[in-house]
Amino acid sequence: MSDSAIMPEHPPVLDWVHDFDHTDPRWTEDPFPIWEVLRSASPVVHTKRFLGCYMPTTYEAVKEIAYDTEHFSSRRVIVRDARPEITSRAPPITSDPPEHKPAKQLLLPPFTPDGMQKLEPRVRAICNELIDSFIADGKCDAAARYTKHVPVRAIAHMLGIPEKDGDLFIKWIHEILELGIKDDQILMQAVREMTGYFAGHVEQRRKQPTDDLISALMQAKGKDGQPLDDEHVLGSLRLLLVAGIDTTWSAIGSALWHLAKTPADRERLVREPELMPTAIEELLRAYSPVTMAREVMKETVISGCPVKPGNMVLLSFPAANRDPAMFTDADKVQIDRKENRHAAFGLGIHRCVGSNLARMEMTVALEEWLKRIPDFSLDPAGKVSWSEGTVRGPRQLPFLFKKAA
Amino acid sequence: MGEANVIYYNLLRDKSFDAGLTTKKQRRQETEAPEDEPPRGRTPGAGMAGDLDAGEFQGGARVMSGKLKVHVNQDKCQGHARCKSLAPDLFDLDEYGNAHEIGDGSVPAGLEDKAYLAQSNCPEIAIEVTEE
Repeated sequence: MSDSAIMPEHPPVLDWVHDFDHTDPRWTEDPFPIWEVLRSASPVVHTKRFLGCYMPTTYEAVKEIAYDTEHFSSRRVIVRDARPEITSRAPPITSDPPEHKPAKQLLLPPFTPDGMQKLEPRVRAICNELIDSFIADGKCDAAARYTKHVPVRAIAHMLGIPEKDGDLFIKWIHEILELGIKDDQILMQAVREMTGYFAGHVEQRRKQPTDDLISALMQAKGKDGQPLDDEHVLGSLRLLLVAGIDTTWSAIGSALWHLAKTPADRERLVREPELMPTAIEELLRAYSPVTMAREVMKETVISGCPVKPGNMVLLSFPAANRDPAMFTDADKVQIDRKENRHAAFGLGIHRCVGSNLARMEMTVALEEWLKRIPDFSLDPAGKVSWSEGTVRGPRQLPFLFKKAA
Repeated sequence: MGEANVIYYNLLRDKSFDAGLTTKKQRRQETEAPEDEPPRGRTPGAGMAGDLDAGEFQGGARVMSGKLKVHVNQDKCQGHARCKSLAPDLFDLDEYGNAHEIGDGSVPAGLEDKAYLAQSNCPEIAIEVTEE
């Protein structure tokens, strides 16, 4: 990618167990065998990169850390090269107890399954508008033409900001979640731009309140009965935008990628649409997009391994979901898997606020795609590419399919 | 969802919000009249014939089999909503999306598999299934 020209390169990894790097191109391309190597070495591994970082490799170790808010803080949720002073927060994802709960409860009600049901018809319409735009071509880059736009438009609709600003959102997210891992300036600039963008929308609503999530947050009151300060409102808005797009874009993309290369699963889902909810959970398990982070605050022991302050933790829910001690045939995608306690949306108090939104978007995006394009495959002339770092999903997804009659 | 938000945030500003929740819970308990519960201490197999058509709604009141009970541990539930999705007859969600069992948690005959399915898909291990 052209990004490599401006990003300081990390030296290639020679020893994954003692020097892992989740931004290494091999990890980006195919992380699963790397996780197996790490897991068979230790439940917790360490790298000196990123100023020192642990990675729990088993479901159990990931869970222990996710539940332990005493020794681990969420104040930094991305593992990066630098660890500058914290200047911006994004409650509740960057909050620890006791601030976490009230901040999260403000955001939960609009994202319940009932809330999502009301949004579903709009998302179904969005999916069909998108499919209309390429179905006659007999091929498309599904990441650029389909999977990206579904979450962009859905979250824009909820927040009450123009869906046409989607390219801007995508640019900021790429800068924050990918380029920002290695380049502090790019990250800070993107955060400033987003803050300015939302400050404008907040200002408009001060004069004229609207019926959307921005106005709702502005009207919400904190625990002390006072309105939330602007920093809280703007931080939460940045969070909803960043967390609501890349993640679901990746989840829908990985699901379609799997179905494109696995005709048996694709045909079965077309034949048995009632299997969709179970299949969605399995695709979420097998291709979980989101890896979070924690910062070690106090010395402790995780799965028998000593963990020391001053280090970050790469909290890989995707790796936990591939742990054979937790899931039988963990490396196999079984779209009818009955027992599935996957952790794709996290474990403990930081469970993804948007999990019901993500599930609804995934379900609708796959259902509408399979209705209109039941038979599709990877285009051998194209190349599938994956995003790097915090959120993993296809960013180029060239498909071939029968032209619409 | 816009309308729901406004209602919610109005509620949030209202100090009686918590009281409202309690009232709703109490109402739920009241509608589950104790006489709906089958007698305890039956010998295994007893009442099987009666259980066959249990689980249906009869005149709006659910007849319970009395064999299995589900319970959501409120300290553990984080609102993944897997139980509600897999067993909507046994679990419901509150305003924040956190789960609780419907009524006293008694599992109508025929829904035992759903109870165990919900339990085995809860990422937080928050669901208890007990045999009476």
